[in-house]
Amino acid sequence: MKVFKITTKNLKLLLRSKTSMFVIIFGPLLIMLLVGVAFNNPSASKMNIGYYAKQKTNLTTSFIQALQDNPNFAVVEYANEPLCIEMIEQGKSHICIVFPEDFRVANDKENEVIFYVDQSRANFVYAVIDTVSTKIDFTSSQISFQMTNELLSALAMAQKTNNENIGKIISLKAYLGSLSTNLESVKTKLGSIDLTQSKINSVQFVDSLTLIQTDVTNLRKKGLDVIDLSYDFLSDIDDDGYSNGNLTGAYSASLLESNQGINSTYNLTSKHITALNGLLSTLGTDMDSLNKRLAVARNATIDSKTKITDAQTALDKVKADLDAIKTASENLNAHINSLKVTSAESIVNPIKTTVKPINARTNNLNFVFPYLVILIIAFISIMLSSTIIIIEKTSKAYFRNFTTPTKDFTFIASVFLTSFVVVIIQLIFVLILAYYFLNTSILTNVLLTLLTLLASLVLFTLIGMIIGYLFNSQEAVTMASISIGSVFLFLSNLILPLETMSSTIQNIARYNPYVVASELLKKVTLFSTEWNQLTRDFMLLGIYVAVALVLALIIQKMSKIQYISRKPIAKQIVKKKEEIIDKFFKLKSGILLRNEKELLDELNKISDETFSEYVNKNKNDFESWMLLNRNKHLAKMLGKCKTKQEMIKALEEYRKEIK
Amino acid sequence: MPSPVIKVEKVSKVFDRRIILDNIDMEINAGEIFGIIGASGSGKTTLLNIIIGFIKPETGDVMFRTEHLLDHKESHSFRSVFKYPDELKRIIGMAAQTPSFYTTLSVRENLDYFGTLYGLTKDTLKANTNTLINLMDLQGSEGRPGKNLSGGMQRRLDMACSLIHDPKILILDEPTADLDPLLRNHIWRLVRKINKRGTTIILASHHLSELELLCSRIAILKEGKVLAVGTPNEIKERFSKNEEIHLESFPGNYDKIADIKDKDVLKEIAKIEDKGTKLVIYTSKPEIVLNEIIKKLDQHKETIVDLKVTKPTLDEIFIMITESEKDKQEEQDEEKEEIKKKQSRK
Repeated sequence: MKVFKITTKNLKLLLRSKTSMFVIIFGPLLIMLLVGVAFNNPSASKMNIGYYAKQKTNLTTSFIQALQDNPNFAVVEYANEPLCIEMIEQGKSHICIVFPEDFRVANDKENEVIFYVDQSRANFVYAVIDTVSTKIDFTSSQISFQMTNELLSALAMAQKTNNENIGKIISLKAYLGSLSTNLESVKTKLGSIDLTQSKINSVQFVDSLTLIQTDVTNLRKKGLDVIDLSYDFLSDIDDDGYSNGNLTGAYSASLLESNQGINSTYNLTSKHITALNGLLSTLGTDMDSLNKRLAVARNATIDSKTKITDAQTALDKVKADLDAIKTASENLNAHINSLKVTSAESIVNPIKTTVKPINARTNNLNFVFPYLVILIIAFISIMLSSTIIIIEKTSKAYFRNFTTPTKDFTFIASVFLTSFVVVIIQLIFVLILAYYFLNTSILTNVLLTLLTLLASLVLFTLIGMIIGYLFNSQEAVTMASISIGSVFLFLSNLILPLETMSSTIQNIARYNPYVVASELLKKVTLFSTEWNQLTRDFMLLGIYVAVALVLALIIQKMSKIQYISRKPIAKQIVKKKEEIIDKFFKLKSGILLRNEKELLDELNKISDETFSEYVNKNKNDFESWMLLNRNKHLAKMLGKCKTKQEMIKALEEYRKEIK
Repeated sequence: MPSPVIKVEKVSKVFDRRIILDNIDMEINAGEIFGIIGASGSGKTTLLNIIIGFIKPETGDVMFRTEHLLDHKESHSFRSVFKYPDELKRIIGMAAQTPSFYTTLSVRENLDYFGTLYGLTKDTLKANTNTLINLMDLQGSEGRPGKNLSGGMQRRLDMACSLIHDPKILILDEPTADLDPLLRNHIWRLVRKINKRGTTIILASHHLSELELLCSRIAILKEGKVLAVGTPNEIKERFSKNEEIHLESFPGNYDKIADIKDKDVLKEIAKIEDKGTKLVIYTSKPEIVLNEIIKKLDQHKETIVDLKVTKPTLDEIFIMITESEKDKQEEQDEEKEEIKKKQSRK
């Protein structure tokens, strides 16, 4: 009941304060409208591009032409580099491009195109560089494409020639193989020729013929002996009468004839032998001559065999070399074949960066919409909750609230509820506007979207409440809210990409509540990411909410103490290191001493005369004070001191002891 | 026999190593209007804030009687305001030095809001609102936002907000600050009306003469110390035995009239003040002094315009007390200076 009453009262206060109503309620809607119009432009605004080229080559002209072809670029040539730069300083150009003097493509030639930009316009400069360099890159890619194409053609031709050479090597290798085989065969055949003749000796032939002649002579003699014997036999037969004379006569005639025959054969044989002997003699001569020639032939054969062997070795080497050439050529071909990318376009632009919308959205607002929604939630929540609190704190009625038996938590809950209600209403307006007029489809994943929006709203409301409780004036709260909001904004992706920041800042920025919330909303709305992939982000938001809640409760308490007892929050945070003792010592100047530390501080300030008012022959007030506080040890130490310096020393020693 | 509802027991408060309240002891009785008077910075507001439990003192405690709490079985017991803040808040109302209400809310909305915070039921809230609107003469302005009310009305609205839960004790811190005499009178009348309803009122103000007529008892506070507590007359009796002769004459040569030579008369005169338009003579024997004065008037041919003999006002007592304290301090300082000079000579 009390919560609703306080919330109603807060809403009434907000609605009745014209300024706050305008700033808090209509402000965000106005921002949304302006931002919507600003981001709802599908094309980039026109850029003024200045350039300077001392000498215009074909390449320079082609680059400039490429830039001029873009309807969003207004390209202006400047007479010199300083003038081109000056135009940026004067805000007339967004970028100045300086082309090198001899801008052409050649071996070992560096072509550096310089971009001058106004780094102070950090939000714009990256867009300009990106847009212009994209165009330059495109033209550069075209040139590279052409050159690579030529390179690839040469490579293809080399491959073709190589293939032909491999064919030739193969046939040559076959030919060499056959040659080697033939040589081997020749070698074998040469090897098989036996030129190691048994020496033909004509004398032996003569000797043989002599033996034959002897044998024939012996044969004639034996034959003649047989014939003689036969004659004797026949004579005996006749003599013995066994035969009439007729018979023996017949035999004697035959024997005579045989005798004659043997003699004639013998004579003829001798004649033949003599002739043969003559022939043999000639043969011997011929044989000697032949032997000589054979010996020469044998030597020639041996020599040929050696040479054939050498030729074979040489052929083997040639063959091996051809094999190596073939393998190398084959490898070369294999390498050429193994090239994955053989199109010049693919080499020049290995990765194609075609920007395609992931859905049917047509304007830039869709992409920045999650960031804008969270931005609006962050700013409204922080501003609103801090404003509600500061309105309350600076209101005349703030004091009276404390006189009522109402728990602090009730007030905190009411502030939260008030802020929550207002932001929810505004958010509904924003989402309706976005849905119907800006054609955004943020509610693709309703539950997760709502959960993200709710968590963000709670978090930023609590942050606003912390600011509200922390400061005591509207100005301070407004400044703090804007500062915090700005820090959230600058350490996010909305103005500068996080990637452009230093790694330390990047790491910090990733934990920026605004970044966490906006990235989460982006994932939910643009990419329709599932819950299980978002648990880490939601957990992080949950932790932030819990921490912010605890902080809000603590700071509210401190703020209340500050309001009532005029004790600044900073002093409340500083831990009391000094022990406050029961009985204070009041100096005559009105200063109150609460412990020995304060006594030491004060002794360093007061004069010896003032000191003598407390410590003299008759008394030692500080000793008495310590005795009253039952610190007998310190009392004893102080009791021994007669001068201020002695007491300072004693106190310093005591403080060292207790440390 | 007076029954105390609030007991302030040995309360000391220190801010930034300065003693704001020094061992304060006092009791506030049921049904009385208790005035706390003191100069600016004397610690009045701090004391009131301690009484309502906002500020915790370094030493001492403030106790409140719990007989008003219906749910407490033990009646007439005292509890610390710091241990039972919510119980205290139900029986106490406070109007601070500056009106404390929402300026953009109307009179009725303010009363409605604070009544709800006190946990009043709808009917009680409605009844109390109507009663207070009548009591505080706010009829016809119920719907007007607080900021559009006159100074007096704003002060009355503030008091109404303090009374919305019908507290038994009402604390008013400088309720007539920045108000003209007419509005001040109006407020004092209201305070009396509220008191007549049975509300104990603790009032801090520096309009001493007005408090003198209003308060049952008064505590004089100076530099965090209570110099005196009692009824206005008790304080006057305690701190001044003199009466005041106020003489206004024509042509008004007061220096001649004040030039009294008679030693017997002179010894009875504590102080003579020439205030330009009148002569004020402080004496414990006004009849003796009056005789001498009349002789002087006759002697110097002065015509009496106005002559009255009165007791000193609370203002004067306050000045007297604080000045005597100041004198004592100055005397002590002088003594110290003397000692120092002597020591340096040695």
